[in-house]
Amino acid sequence: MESFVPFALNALTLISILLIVSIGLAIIFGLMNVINLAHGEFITIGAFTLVAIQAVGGSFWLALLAAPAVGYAIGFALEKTLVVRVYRNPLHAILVTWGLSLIIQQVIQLIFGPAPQRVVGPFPGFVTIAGANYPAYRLFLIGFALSVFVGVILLFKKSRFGLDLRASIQSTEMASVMGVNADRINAQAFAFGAALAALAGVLLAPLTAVTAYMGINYLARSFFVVLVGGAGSISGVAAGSGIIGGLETALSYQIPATVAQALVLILAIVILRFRPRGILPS
Amino acid sequence: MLRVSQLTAAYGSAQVLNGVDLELGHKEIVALLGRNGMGKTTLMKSLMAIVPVSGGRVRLGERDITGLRTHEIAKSGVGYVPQGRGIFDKLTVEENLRMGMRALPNGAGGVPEFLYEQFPILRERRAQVAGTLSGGQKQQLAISRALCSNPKVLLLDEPSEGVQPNIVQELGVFLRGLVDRHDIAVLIVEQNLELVHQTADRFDIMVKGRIVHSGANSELDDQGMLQRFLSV
Repeated sequence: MESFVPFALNALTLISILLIVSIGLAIIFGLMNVINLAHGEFITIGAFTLVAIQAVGGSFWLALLAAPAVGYAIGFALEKTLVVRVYRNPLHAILVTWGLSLIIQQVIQLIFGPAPQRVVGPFPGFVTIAGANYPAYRLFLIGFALSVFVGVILLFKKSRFGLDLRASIQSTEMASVMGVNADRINAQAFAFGAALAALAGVLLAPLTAVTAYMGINYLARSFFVVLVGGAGSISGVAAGSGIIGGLETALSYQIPATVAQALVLILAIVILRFRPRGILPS
Repeated sequence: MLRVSQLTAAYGSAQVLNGVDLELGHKEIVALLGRNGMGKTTLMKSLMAIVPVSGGRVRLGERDITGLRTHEIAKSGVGYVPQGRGIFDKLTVEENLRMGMRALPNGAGGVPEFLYEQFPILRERRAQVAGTLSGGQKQQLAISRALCSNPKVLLLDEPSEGVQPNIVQELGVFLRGLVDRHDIAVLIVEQNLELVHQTADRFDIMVKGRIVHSGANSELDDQGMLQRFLSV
């Protein structure tokens, strides 16, 4: 029991981060059939928003508000100027978003330098749960990320934006026959996904080395979350995050973390071999 | 209401519409007939700018809507029910109807009561996922959805396809009542001549991307004419 609680909480930390990172990727993939290889960089952008805000004396909470706004603005601008031109050709989309990812990494490194940045989380203490000490910040992260996930589900189910998005994912053509501006919904969806990734970046930053390359790690994982879960469905994202995050945490108790990551990705490939459309396809 | 002149459209290098001239009067139902592959569906798609128009003009009332984008055409007052109906299968019946209101000036509103009166099943099943409806119910939903935005022109592509005969009959009665009571004109592509007979005021026949013959409904009994333009 004493070792199970920290394990479960560690798994939940990774799962909840994967949830909000992957949702953005799943929306973009479901809507535009574009694999956004720059998605991880929005995590980095979020983390560096925290770095910049703390450098000028701002608080973690301010960054938690500002990062999604920064992610949204940059995502929106990039969609309008660049990504919109490559939707029709998946190969172009891969190349363009990959190039974009390299450029963002280098720009961040030029501004902030190669050394890992230090950021400070809002809760330094520990909480005792069932006899185990656990960092308070991680508990906050899990609760906050899960609430964001629930909020996103409600937004999809209840709001006009959500309805337009779900309709467009099924058929962009019919949605525009109804009067939905496809360009606008695409840009909003792309920017929304970027905002969520940036939010995840702020949440992650106190737990990890904040460098210009921190997003790469999460791109591969969330990409597999989307594929394993099933593209374009929220329940798929939840299932995928649970499997990838849970397994990776479990394995990294026994073997080195990098090997664990590799094993999980191999397993994901095996799952896809037998369920090519994912576990819960839309 | 709708005036199409010299409309041309192509898929790549294959010209499908070769200068279509067509008029749809106020409160009029016009049937568009023709064999498969003559360009009827393409005409509807190019009226909605789903297939790009390469030449010609489209006027809706006093407004030139040539070159507008699909969502702008929807907002200008054209409702469209494609072949296969275009229902959002994973959305509920009610969500489908709400999508139908996007073309209203403020993008939202209530379902017109006459639709629920005509098709009570849509009210009963409003919380149900639309993919579970039968073919006939889906067609009712698709037409109702197109009417939610109170369009001036309704384009219907093969509404009788995959729908059982008694529902087709009902559909005909509904369309007649619709133009009698509302300010709307209907252009209907249909293979089912009985439905055309029952609903249309007149018809146009399309051959190879052009209207080659127009006639009043009474002419539909002319076997020679039907033989010449429609038999395969």
